[in-house]
Amino acid sequence: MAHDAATVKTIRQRWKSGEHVGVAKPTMRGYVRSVVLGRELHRVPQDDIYAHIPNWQGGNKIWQGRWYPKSDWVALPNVLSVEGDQDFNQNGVGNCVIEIDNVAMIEQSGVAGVYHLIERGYYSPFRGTDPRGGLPPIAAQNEWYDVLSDKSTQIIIVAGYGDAAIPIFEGLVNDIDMTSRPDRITLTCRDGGQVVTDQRVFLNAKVRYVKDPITFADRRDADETERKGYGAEAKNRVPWHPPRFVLDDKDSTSWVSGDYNVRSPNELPWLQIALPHGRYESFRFKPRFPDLTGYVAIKAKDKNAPGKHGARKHFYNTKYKDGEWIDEGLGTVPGTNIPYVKKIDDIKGKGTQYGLPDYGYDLGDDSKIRIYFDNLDRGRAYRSPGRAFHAGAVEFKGIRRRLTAEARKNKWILVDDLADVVRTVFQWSGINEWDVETTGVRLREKSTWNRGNFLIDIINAASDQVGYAFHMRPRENFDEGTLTSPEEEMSMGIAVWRQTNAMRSGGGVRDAVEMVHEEQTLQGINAKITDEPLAYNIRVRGRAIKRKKGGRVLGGDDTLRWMYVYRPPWSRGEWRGHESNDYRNANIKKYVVHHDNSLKTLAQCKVAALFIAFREAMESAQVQFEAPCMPTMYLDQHCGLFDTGTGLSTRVYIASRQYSYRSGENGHFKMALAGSLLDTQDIVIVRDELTQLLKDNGYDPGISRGQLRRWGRPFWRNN
Amino acid sequence: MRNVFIDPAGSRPDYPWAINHSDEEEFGKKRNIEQGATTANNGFVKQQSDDSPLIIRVNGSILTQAQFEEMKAWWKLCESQTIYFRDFAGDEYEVIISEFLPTRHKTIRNPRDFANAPYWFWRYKMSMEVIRIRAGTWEGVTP
Repeated sequence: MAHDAATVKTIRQRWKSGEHVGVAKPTMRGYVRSVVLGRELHRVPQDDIYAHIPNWQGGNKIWQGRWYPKSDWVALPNVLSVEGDQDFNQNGVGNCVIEIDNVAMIEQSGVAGVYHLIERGYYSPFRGTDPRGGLPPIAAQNEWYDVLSDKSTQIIIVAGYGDAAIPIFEGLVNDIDMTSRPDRITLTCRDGGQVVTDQRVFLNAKVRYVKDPITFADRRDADETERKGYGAEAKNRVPWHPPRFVLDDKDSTSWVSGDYNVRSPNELPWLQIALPHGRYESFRFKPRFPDLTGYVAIKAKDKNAPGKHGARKHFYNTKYKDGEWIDEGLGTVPGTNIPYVKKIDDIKGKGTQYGLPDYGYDLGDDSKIRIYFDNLDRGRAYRSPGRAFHAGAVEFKGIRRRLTAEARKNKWILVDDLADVVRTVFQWSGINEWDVETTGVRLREKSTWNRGNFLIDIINAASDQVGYAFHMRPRENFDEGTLTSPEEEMSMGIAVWRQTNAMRSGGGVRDAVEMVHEEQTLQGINAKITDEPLAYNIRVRGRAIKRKKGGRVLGGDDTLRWMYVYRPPWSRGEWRGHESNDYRNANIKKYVVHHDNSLKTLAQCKVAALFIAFREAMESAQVQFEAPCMPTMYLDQHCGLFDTGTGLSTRVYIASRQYSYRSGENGHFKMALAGSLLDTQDIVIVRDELTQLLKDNGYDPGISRGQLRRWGRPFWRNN
Repeated sequence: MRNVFIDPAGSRPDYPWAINHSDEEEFGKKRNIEQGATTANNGFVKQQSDDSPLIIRVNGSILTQAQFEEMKAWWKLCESQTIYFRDFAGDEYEVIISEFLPTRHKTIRNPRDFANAPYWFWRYKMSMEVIRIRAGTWEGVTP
């Protein structure tokens, strides 16, 4: 989903014009409906299953919270003012306060014509309650009875300029305050993120069939593995290179196919091994020749297959007939009618573990895994003088996996990527729309959560591991023309969990970058550069380790630990042409030492140190300003800021946003943004160094691949 | 021609005012445009919000207790419903009386109502918020 481009374009044009009058005057409208959050097992496509639980009998079903509309949307009348705010310091959950006039003008037909009854307190949720104790009722119930009452009321606020408007807030009504004379209702709402901030890891708020405490674990860590295979066969071979050599655990022996006179023969040579029963999601293959192409086919057998259900796809209920070649719909091996389950375009020269589709297969005894080879290697002919083409292999074995007893007994929730933890929590909690970025990082160690934790604690822990951030956004489009609530329409806003845009630059920045020019900024820009958060250097100490492996003591702390010392750019000298001993912090030794036993390697300590430095740099250069509201500006976005008075022409990372709308006299539609000045030298240097470090360690696929700018000296020392 | 209050619900008979108002204040629409100074010092950001309501503000005198009671009754009626106001020119509005502010003034003798208000009469201010324009010069404008 995305905002309607034409609508956003119109809003942007009107916002930039500074002439918010006539057809471009500010608008803000509200809609409410009744909803309920249901939880049950839902069958979902395989791609929507992010976590697996041992012995889970649900097949393709997952435990999921879903919102169900109980009424159609109705327009919220008499909106006087709307004020909202959202801040990363509040877990990225947005608040909104809406004031409405609690007096209705009800049209009537009288003897002299149409007139209006003035109904005070008309929108009060209790108006029409049948009182007890002999008290008289205020009035009969109306269509607003018990509507603006509690969390079962979903509210969406649409804002913009003139007829161009988009959602600016979506959430639930949490508080309702009513006053008499003036008859007003004030609704205090929080966005859909409250489902993770308010629900604990307990009973149905998490997956019901795993008792608390629950444990998330890397799926690979939950398995014992062993290399398996027997009965190697091949389509053909040359002398002294029989197929059985691929199972003998020796690098000096190998299978080599027969001589071929073309690189891609019509009938491809193949190599096959039999597998004992078990779960296989990968195999190990070491070629004799480089750059072969492989088609992997699997013949499934039922005998003794795990689960006693015959051969099937692991985690899913797709069953295979005994002796059937598994068909994943990828096509057939060239020259045959045998389907393949995986194609390897460029088999690596060294021994490599290759994954099978999805989470592999539960196979019975004597199942076969076969590789057909193409793009054969040219070399000496074995059966005749001259040259010929061959395939060949040194090692070929299936990798049988078995859950550890601990994982099975405690029903660990198994994931492959840190992002899958977050997605799974969203599914439980009732968040059904999200923008979650896969991290490429596996769970560092298993994490256990009990009933004392909120769901947001799980998300925050995942955020801390990779420097991601969570916040909520409203849905991007809302059809004000059709206010019906189809059953499948279950959005409670969009949860965003991704690497912060503060870590990105240039073309890597997601979301539109709006420019706030001084011709639009309304009130005092307050920019502040402070050295208060900046440390002289940052030491990160990890897990205890022996001296010979790199363990280091620190001052009076005699424990040998992984330790990394990062000297940030503000402590290095040699800046802006100054001499190397011109420390910007005057060489005042303001040390920061961070201990974290979960850091198991020096690289992890380095990443942690640079994340700390990055946060310090962000906190040291901040700005806040006010401007007419642009509804598409959210948290975690960049905006450009140009202001002569402060000399700022820079990008700002939005970490906090407030907006305010008031109708009538003194009406306005403004926003106040606060965040970090992204283009300061310190932030740029630390970001670049952190980016490079993450790349070097194979983390963080989301980082911009643009030109890395590097200012200053080499940036880390292992001491 | 007298000003007239009309109860469209029919609970009260039409009331032609005993004495029309003597003068009235400005009657029209105000467009609310907020001017926000920018930091560029080159002008203002203009933001228009909803127009102010159309309000009829009249001043006059009440010489009889009966007229005062009528005015009071129509004011009270407006607590729960709108009424129609037709002025001396024939313009007609659906209104709510939002202000009725009478002040007693002493007089040597009130010949119009010597029985009930022998030594005083009332001057008043009245504001009526227009809900709908039924007929007249402002027809076609959202009140």
